[in-house]
Formats: sequence, structure tokens, C-alpha cells
Amino acid sequence: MSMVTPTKTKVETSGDLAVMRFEGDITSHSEEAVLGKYKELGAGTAKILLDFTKVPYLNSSGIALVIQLLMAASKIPQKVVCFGLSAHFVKVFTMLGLAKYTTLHPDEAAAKAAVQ
Amino acid sequence: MTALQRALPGGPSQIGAVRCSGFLDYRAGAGMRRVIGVALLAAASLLAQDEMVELGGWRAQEGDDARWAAPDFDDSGWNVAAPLSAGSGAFWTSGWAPVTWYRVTYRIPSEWRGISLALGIWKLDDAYEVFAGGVKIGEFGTLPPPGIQDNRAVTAFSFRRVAFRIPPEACRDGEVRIAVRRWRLPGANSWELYEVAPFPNQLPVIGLTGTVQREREIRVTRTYIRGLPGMLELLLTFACGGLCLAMRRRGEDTELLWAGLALLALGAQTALWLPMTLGDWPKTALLPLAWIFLTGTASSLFLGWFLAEMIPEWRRWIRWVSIPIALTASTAGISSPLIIGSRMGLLAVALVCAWEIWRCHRRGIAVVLAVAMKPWLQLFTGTSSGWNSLNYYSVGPFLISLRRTSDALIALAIATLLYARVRRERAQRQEVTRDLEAARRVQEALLGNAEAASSAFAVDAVYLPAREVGGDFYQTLPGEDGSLLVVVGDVAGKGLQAAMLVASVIGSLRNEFSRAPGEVLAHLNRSLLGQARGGFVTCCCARFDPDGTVTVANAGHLAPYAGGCEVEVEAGLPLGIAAGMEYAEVRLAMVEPFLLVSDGVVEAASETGELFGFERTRGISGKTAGEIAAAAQAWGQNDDITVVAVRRIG
Repeated sequence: MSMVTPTKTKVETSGDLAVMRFEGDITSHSEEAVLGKYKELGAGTAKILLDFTKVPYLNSSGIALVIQLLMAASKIPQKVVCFGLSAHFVKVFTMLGLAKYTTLHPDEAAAKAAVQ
Repeated sequence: MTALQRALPGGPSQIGAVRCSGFLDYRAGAGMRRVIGVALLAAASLLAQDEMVELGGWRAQEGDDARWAAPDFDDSGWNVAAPLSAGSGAFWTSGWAPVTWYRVTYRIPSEWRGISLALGIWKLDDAYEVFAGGVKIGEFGTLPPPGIQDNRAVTAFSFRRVAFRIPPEACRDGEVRIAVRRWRLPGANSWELYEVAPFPNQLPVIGLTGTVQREREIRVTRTYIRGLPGMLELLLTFACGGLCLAMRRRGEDTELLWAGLALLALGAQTALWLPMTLGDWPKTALLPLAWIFLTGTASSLFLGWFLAEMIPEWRRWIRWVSIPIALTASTAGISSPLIIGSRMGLLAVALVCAWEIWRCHRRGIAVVLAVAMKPWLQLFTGTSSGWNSLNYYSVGPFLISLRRTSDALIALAIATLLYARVRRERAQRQEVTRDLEAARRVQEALLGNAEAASSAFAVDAVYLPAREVGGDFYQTLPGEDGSLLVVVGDVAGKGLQAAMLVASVIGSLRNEFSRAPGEVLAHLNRSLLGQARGGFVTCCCARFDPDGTVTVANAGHLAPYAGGCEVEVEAGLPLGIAAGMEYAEVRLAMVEPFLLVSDGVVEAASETGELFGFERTRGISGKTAGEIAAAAQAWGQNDDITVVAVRRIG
């Protein structure tokens, strides 16, 4: 990878649903963008959508941050679903055995339908 | 023909672009010949004291009127042009009128009558015309005619000593009436006294032409000698600036960049003194003013940014504060509350920075003193004409400028501090590099046990860490039953922290008694809980049995490839995340080659960001480990690459 783009996170909330839209690569430098923004979610948030549509790359440290988010959400518990991952990272997420903690969907509509 | 004879009868001449007419032998002589000659001339001048006298009793009038050159003009109502201070020959005026006239009447001693006389003017800024008996006998530079104020028409901003021949017809009734019409850069009052105040005997002289000419040559050479300390200080400042830039590594060491540029700008500002004192440059007022402003602003700004780099926690506000201070502090010579305020600001910033540098870098005491001294000197030696005299001191035959000396001391202090710091940091870096190299060798020793395969299986392994040490690992553990346990894994992250976790994993594996892949992973998971610190370890474990089967368990790692196909293995969570994890095993017939890789292969990325990917990896999974690793590396390595291929023997 020639250059890592910094991660930005936009959070949209509606009732008990929050959508975390990531933009840029997710790496070890993305802790604030992933876990920091997650911790800012209100206590009433029960469903979380993770939008990876604008994430071209996640390295292992970045995936570790996502896994930490999933672990933290599972303890509350909050339902977390992911969408917008590229085919490559759908496979990576699948291999990581995260099925117990999240589900993967091609787009936002499918993800929203999954949490309803 | 002597120089004097060549110069006579004194017609107008052009030297460089500064017009000097009516003077005697204005040209600079050949260096060494001149110095030797002047030593002889100095001895001769001691014998000729009665052939030349200082010309005092001048009267001055601001304004401009051509009639003031006339010999019969009554100047009794003019002010007496008193020296500014004892021993100083500087003529004090208000400093704001562009043109001032000076007049004096000299009674010629009887023994001089009929002999060629000359007037020596050693210092008078900027351009001027000299009249004797109402006749213009010469000029230094050019200036507009009386009544016309055109600053652009003026040239001559250097400080040359000039001798003017007084024609015999200008002497009447045993006396000569001399008038000088002088133009000066309006408002440049501190310039007027530049290098003047400490010189004794700066009054113009009148005397026999040969004697005045010799005196001029002595004074010119004395200027060179007096300027030697300044030259050395200038060279020192440039050398220190160059050293700072030379020590800098490309794209790093920002403090060295700003320090180097600040010192070069400081030197460049001081260097203006050279051509002004020793040569004919500059020719217009705009150039030195622009030069002083640009170099002064640059040096102050870069010095401020250097201080900002030295105090990271205050970096941002020091950078911003430096800009207005640098812009105002560089306008030397203009007295105003703004300038004094900016210099007080510079002083405050410098003192605060000095304190911080001393607190953080105790060895930088020299920088503290130099930085603290600079604005004080700027404040007290450059704000007004009166204080400018505090700048210069004569030490033996040399002239010492507090400002130039402070600049050189600042340069020396900064360069010394940074040199010591760079040496210390480079020694530390070398030590870290040696430690990493040692860690790399240890890791190689820990990992490099591919030869420890069983008699039934051959292992072909390649390990390419992205840095000195890596976060990938692999182990081959032969069993007494002829089986071979192969473990390939990846610690999230890279570098030393990941390598330390790798060592822990390998330690656990070497103490592992179980030969069941699922149990091995479960045990590893237990041992890693709490160690991964928010990270995780992916791991794939495969046991190859002599009966031609292979049993695989996977903890979040990439699935292995067998005979060019991906092996379907139930995915388990990576190690170190959750307690009580169990990992399912799958048993299948051994198909060659059996390949285990780390994500450094599939996530090798090209310049455009395109990943090597699963398909390409699967496509080359039948090749040797070296070929697969090389293909991924050539695609664009950005993580550790591990490839382990297992084949049956026989």
C-alpha cells in the first residue's frame, strides 16, 4: 500500500439505531475513529450499523479495533451488523469467525432489514 | 607616474556604478601590495602631521538651495554642527530632512599657499556634492538637483573614504570656503551613525594633496583590518547554519532545518555590511532596505520556528506569534512604539523559550544565554541613533560589533546544542538498530526450525518480515509417531511489540504436549488471554500423519490451500480475544502441496492499492514457498509475509 488514508467517522443516530460510517483505511491509527466514536454513542443505542462502503483497506490492527468494538457491544448487548465490505474483506471477516458477533450485508438496506 | 599624478587634475570619473568625481585615486589597490604600502604610508603620515588638519567649525542647515554653495553666502545664522558625542565626528541633524548643507571657511596657512590642496571626507551618508569657492569640486554618488526631491535619483549607499582636490582658483584671499550638499535616506537616522561613533578623528581633513591621499589609503586599509573580527563572525555564522542543514536528514529533523535557515539568513543580513564598507554596493536605497527586511524577517521567523520545534508542547502558538514579531522586528532603524513593542515581544518570547530550553535541555545553557541576549541587543543597539553607538567598540586595531558578535554567538550556541543532540540521538538510533538486529537474529533462531520436519514430510518455508522483526510466526513440530504439527500464525500489528508476542506464542507451542490441532489452539488462546492487549493472534494448526491424512483447526487465520484449492475449515475466533474458545477440527486426505500462508500474501498491495487477493494466491499455491513469497513481495509488501509448503517424502 503506497499511502494510508486517515480514517474519518460520521455517526448518524435515529432512535435506538446508530450508523457509524467509516471513511478511509482502518489501521492501528484508527482507534479514535472506531472505538472513540463507538464510546460516544448514547446509552439508548441498541442497534449499530457499521458502514465500510468507503473503507478501501483494513489491516490486522484495524480489524482488531473492529473486533474490540464487537466484543464491547456483545457485552451490553447491542446488535451490530456490517455492510459495504469489499469481497476480499467479507472473506477475511468470515475467516475470522465473527459470525457470533455480527452479520455481513452487501448494502445499507439489507443491513437495516437485518436489525429490524 | 604616481597615483596622485594619475588622478590629477581631477576630472569626473566613474567607478563601478557609484559615481565619484573629483576625488583622488579612488580605486582599490591590489590587496597585499596595498597593505604593505599603507604600513609605509602610515609611517610617512606621522612625519606629515603638519601637512593636514581636521576641518572643524562646520555650520549646518537643513533644506536645499543652490545659492548656499556661493562663497559669499552669509551662513552666520546656521546651526553649528556639533559632534554627537565626544570623539565622534558625526554631524547631528534631526534625521528626517533629505538634504542638509554644511559650510565651513578655512584660512590657509601661509606655508601651504600655492601648493595643491585636497579635502578628505571619511564618512558622510549617503550621497553628497562638494563645493570649494562656489565651484563644485566633486561628488560621491549622484543626487537630484536642488529643489527636486527624487529619492530614486540618488545612488551611493556605501561608506567609502574620499579625497577631493581643491583647485587653486577656489582659494581666494588666503582662505577657502567649502560647502557640502548632502542627501540622506529620509528617516534613516540610525544609518547615519553606522560605524561612525567609535571612530575618533572622523571630521573631514584638509591638507596637502599627497598627505590627504596617503591618509585616505591608511583609513581604507584600517577599515579592512577593523573588519576582520566581523568577517570571522560572519564566516562562523554561515558555517554554523550550513552545519545545521548538513546534519539534517531529508524529511526529518525540522529543528535543524529552521535553525540552519535562521542562521544563514542572519549571516546574509550581516553580510550587507561587507559591500557597504568595503565596496560600492548597494547602488540604491531600495536594495539594502529590502535586504534588511527580508533577511531580518526570515532570520527572526526561522529562529522562532526553531524555538517552537524545541518546545513541542508550545509549538503551535510560538509558530504563530513568531510571524508578527518577525515582520515588525526586522524593520531596524525606525523608532516607533510598534518596533519597540515587537522587540519587547521578541524578548518575552525569547526569555520564555530560553527558560523552557534550559528546563528541557540542560546542556543548552549557551543557547539560553544567546537567545536571551539577542533581543536585548536588538532593543538597545538598533532602535534609535543614540543607542546605536552602544553597538560598536574598538578593541586594539579591531572593531567589535555587539550585534554581529551576538549573532555569531547565537549561531555557535545553536549549532553546538544541535550537534550534541544529533550525535546523541544518532548514537541512540544506532543502539536501537543494533538491538533490533539482535532481535531479528533471535527471531530467526526461534522460527527457523523448518529442518525439524519429520522423516515423512518436507517443509519449504519462507519468512519475510516487513520490518526488522515481524509479527508472523510458524513452527514445525515433529512427533515421535512420525507426524508433523505445523503452526502458522499472525499477531495483529508489526514491529517489536508484535515480535515479543510471537516469542511468547512460540514459547507456549514448544511446551505444548497435545498433538490435536484444536486443543493446541485452545491452549494457545488461554495462554494469550490478557497478553494481546486489545489485539489478537490468528493461527492455523495442521497435523500431518504418516497415513496420508491431515487434520486442521483454524483460529481466524487464512484457510490453507491443498492441491491448488482452498481447504474448507470452520472459522474460529482469533486467539487472545475470548476465553473458553473451542476450535473445530477437520480431517482430510493430504493433497500436495499443502500450503499455509499469512495475510501478508493476500494483502500485498500495489501502488494503486490493488490487493494481491485470494484468487491470485490460490492461482500460485502450487508453486514453491519462495516463488509465492517473491510474487507477493513484488506486488507490494506491506505486512509480514509467511509461506509454508508441506510435501510428503517418497
